Amino acid sequence: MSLTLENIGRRINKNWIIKGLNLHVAKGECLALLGPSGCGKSSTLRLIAGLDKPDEGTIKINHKDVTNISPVNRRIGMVFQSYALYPHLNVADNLSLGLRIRGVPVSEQKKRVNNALGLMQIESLFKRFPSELSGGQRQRVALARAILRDPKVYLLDEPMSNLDAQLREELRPELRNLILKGGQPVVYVTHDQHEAMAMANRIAVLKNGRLEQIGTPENLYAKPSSIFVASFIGRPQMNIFPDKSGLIKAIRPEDLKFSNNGLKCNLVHKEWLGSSQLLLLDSQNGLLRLLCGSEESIPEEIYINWSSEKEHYFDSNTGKRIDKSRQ
Amino acid sequence: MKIKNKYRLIFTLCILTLSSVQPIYSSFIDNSTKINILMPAPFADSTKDLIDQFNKENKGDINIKVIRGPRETESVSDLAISSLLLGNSPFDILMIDITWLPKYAAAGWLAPMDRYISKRDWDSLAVGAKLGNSYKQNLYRWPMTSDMGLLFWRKDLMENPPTTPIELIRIAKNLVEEGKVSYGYVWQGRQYEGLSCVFLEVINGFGGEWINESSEVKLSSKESIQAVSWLKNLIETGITPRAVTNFSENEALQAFKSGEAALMRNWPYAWAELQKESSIVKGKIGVSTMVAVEGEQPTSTLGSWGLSILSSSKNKEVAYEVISYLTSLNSQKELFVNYGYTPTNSQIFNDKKLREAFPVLVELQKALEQTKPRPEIPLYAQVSDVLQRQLSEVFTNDKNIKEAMLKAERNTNQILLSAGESK
Amino acid sequence: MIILFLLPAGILILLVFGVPLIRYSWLSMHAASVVTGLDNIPNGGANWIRLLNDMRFWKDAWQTVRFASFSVSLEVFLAILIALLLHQKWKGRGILRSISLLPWALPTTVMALGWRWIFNTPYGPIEKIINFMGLNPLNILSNPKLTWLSTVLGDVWKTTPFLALILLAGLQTIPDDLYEAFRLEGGKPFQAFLKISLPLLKPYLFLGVIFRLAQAFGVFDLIQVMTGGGPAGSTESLALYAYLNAMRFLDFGYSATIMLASFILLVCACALSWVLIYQSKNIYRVYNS
Repeated sequence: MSLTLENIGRRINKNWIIKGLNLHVAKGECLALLGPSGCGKSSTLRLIAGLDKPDEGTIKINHKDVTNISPVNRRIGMVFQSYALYPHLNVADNLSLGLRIRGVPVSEQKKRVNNALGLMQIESLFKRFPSELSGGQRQRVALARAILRDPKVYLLDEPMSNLDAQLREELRPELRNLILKGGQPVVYVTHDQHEAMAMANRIAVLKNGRLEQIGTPENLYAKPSSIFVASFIGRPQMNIFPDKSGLIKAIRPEDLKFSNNGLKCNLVHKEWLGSSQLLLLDSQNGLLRLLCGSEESIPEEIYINWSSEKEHYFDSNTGKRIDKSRQ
Repeated sequence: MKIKNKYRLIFTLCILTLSSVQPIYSSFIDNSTKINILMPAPFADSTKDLIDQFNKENKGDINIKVIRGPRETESVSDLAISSLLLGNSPFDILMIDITWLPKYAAAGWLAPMDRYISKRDWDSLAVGAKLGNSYKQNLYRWPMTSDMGLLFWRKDLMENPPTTPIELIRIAKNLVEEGKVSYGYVWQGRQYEGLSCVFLEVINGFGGEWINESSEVKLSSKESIQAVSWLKNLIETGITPRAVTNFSENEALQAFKSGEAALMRNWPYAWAELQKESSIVKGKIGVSTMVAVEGEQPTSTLGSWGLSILSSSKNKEVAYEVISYLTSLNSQKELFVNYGYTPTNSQIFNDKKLREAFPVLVELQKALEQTKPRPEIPLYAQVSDVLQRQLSEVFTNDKNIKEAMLKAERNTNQILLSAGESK
Repeated sequence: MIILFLLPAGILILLVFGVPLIRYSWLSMHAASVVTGLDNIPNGGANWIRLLNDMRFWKDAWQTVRFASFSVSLEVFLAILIALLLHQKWKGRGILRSISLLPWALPTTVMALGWRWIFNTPYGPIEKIINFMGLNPLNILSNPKLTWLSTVLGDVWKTTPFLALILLAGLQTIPDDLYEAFRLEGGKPFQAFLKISLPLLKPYLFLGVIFRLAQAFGVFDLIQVMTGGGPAGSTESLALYAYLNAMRFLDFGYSATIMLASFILLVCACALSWVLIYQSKNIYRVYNS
C-alpha cells in the first residue's frame, strides 16, 4: 500500500497553486503536509482525493495510476476540517449513507456501522444528531465514517483544529494508533508544526505550492533546508540575523547560553513557561530569543555565547541552506 | 473665507425655512372656503380649466381642490368608500356613478340636495338626465354628464343601422360572410357591470324587464330567455367573437376602431375616440340606439356621472355653489365641445349652432330620451353580480339558459328579501 | 428577563394580527351592511349559517385552494430549479440573479394587465401564434376550464423569483464539504440533491411555502385585474368574494365571515404543508428503533 504523486501541478486561471510536486507515502507511513495557509496543502489533499483534477502529473495509489479515476473508486477515507457530518442525519445514518448509495446490503451495513462505532467507542451515540455532539465526539464520528470506508489511503485535513488544546493532546496518540493500524498511507494536513512533529513520520513543508523540504521531524529540526523551514519548524522561533560573512545565520533559542563574555545583551522581556523560560534580548544582532531552564538564574549583566556547531547558515539571496563543512 | 461660508449657509437655511413656512403662513390669512372634490382621473383632467377659472374668479372666497382619483370606475368607489367608512371623509363633493347612488344614500353618506334646487333647475334637465338622481323621494345628486348605451354602425358597410334583433343578425351575418369584416357585432361580455348594461338594453328591446316597477324580478320571463338566447346565438354563429366574453369597453372599441367589426355597443366616449386620427374608421361611423323587436321602444342603459354633497361636509352651501358652477350651461358646453361629454341640459341639445357643428348631438338626444336606469336599489351591486355570473355561465360554460335565468331570478329574490326583512 | 425582551415584539404581533382577528370575529357575529344603515346588529351566527349554505363560498373556497396548491407547487418546483441554477458558479450569474428578480419587483396590477393583454383574444400574442398555426382560437380568458390556469401562470411568473431567492439563500448555507464528502462516498449529483440539499432546504422550503400559501390564499389584485373573477365566476377567489361583499355590496358582517373562514382554511393548508415537508420519510434509517 502506497501513495505517489509525480510532478503534480494545479493551476487556477494562470496561477500555479501547486507546481512540480513529488511525494511518496509508504505503507504505514504518516506524512504531514505543513505550511502556512495558501501554501497549497489543502489543494494537494483535494487532488489526491479526486475532488479536483491536476493540470499535470500523475497520482498513483498502490502503484496504479488513479489520476483519471473518480473519487469513489479511489477509496479514500477523508476527514474534513469541519468533519462534514450531515446535519440532518443521526450518527448511524451519517455512517451508513455512503454504504447505502453504493448498494451495500442492509445486514452488511449494520455490521460495518457497528464495527466502526465500536472501534471509535461511540456506540452509545448512534441515535444522536451532529448538533447534539461535542467537538471530540464529532471528530470520532468523522473518523468512524472514514474507517468504515475501508480506504486505501487516509486523508486528514486539519482534523484537530476545531478542538481545544487538551483534547488534542489526548487524541493524538489514539488517532495515530487507529489510522496507522491498518497500514494505509496517511496524509495529514496541518498548519501546526507541533502537531505535524507529533503525528507524522515525515513532514513535507510547502511554500507557494512548491515543496520546500521533506524529511523526518528530527531531520527538519536539525537541518532546515531554508530560512522558511528554519523559521517554521521549532518553537520558540529560531534567531535569524545577518552574519559578517554576508550569509544569514540562524541559531535555535535553546542553543544560546549565558557566559562571562561574548555578545552583550539587554533583557527586554521575560516569559516564564513552567519548565523553561523565554528571554527576549536586545543585542547588536537585533532582538534574540533565548530559552533556558526555569531554574536557571539570569545574570544582571547578560553576555551570551553558543557553540559554533549549532549555527545554521543560509544564502542571503536564495535563502537556501549552506553546510559549513562544505565551505 | 470660512466665516463667509458660514454666513452663506445660514442665509440659505433662512431662505429655505421661510419658503417652507410661507404656504402655512398664507393659509393663516387665507379665509377662503375649501371645497374638496374626488373625481375619477379623466374627469379631474378635463375639468381642470373650469376649476382653475373658478378659483381665479373666487380668489380669497372659495377654493376648489380636485383630488384626482383612479381611472377605473370601481377603484374610485373603493377609494371613496374607504374614506367614508373611516368617518370624517376629507371630501365635500363626490363625483358618483349612477349605480352607487342608492347604496351611498342608504348608508347615509350623502346629503339631500332638494332645498337647493328650483323647479327651473329641474326643468332644464333633459328627460334621461332626470333619472337616477334620487333615492326614496330625495334628490342626492346633480347630473354633470349623461352616459347611455349606443349602437355604433359603419356607414360604409350599411345604408341604415339595424333596428330589430333579426335585422341586426341579418346585416352582421351577411357582412361577415361576404368577408367585409371579421366580426359582425362586438359588445361587452366580460363578467362585470358592463354585461348588465348590455343585458338591460336587450331584455327591454325584447319587451321584458329585469326588475319591474312593483319590484318583481322578471329574469326567467319569456322575453328574458329570448334576450339571453339572442346574445348567446350571436356568439355561437360567429357574428360576435367568442372572446367577447372577456371584452370590456376597451376591447370592443379596439376591434371596432381597427375596422374589424361592423357594429358595436358602447358609450358616448367611444365617439370621440373614433374621430381620432388613429382610427381607421374615422368619418365612417354612425350612432344609433339599440335594437328592439317591432312594437317595442329601443332602450339605452343610463349611465351618468353627477356630483353629490357628502353629509359630513361642513360647507354644504358653498359645495352646492361649486356644483352649480360645474354643471352650468357654460361648463357643459365646454366639456361637450372639448371632451365630448354628453350634456344633461336640454338647452344644449337644442342649440342650433351646436347641432350643426356636431350632428351626433341629435342622436345623443334621441338616445337620452330612451334611457332606462338600472334597478335603483341599495343592493344593486349584489343583484347585478348575480346576473353577470349567470350570463357568463351561459356564454362560457354552456349552462342551460332557462336554468341559469331561473337561478338568477331566485338569487335576486333572496337578496331583495333579505334587504326587506332586515328593515 | 427574556419575556421582557420579547414583550415589544409580542405586543406588535398582537396589534398587527390579534386586533384585526378579534375585530373580524366580532363583526362576523353581527349584521353590518347597507341594509342595517351600517349599524352593527348582533345576529347570533346567522352569517356563519349563511356561509355554510352559500354554494358560491364553497365554490370560491375550492377555487382558491386549487389556485393556491397549483401555483405554490409549480413555484416550488421551478424555484428549486432556478435556485440550483443560480447557485452554480458561472459567468453572468450575477446579472441573471438580478434579472430573475424583476417579475417580483413589478407591481401586480401592471403585470396582470400585461397578462390580460397576452391572453387577449384575438389581439394577444398567444392567440396570434395559434391563429398563425391555423388552429382554432383558444379563448383562454373566456373558457371557464382554462382561465384559472392562466391566473396560476401569472402568479407563478410573478412570485417564483421570491421563492427562488429564499431557496438560494438556503442553498448557500449548506457547506460544500457535505457535497464533497458525499462525492467521495460515491454520491451522484442528483443523489446529492435528494439526500443533502433537499433535506437541508426544508426549513427554507417551509418558510417559503408558508409565505406563498398566505399570499396565494389572499390572491386578489391579480384576479381582479386579469379576469374580474370570471368567466362564470370560475376564477373568483375568497379574497375577491370578501372584497365584493365589503366594498361593493357594503355587507361587512358577511365579508368578515368570509375572511375568517379563509383564514381557517389557510391555517389548515399551512399545517398540511408542514406535515408534507417535515414528516416525509425520505430519510432511511439503519436503526428503526
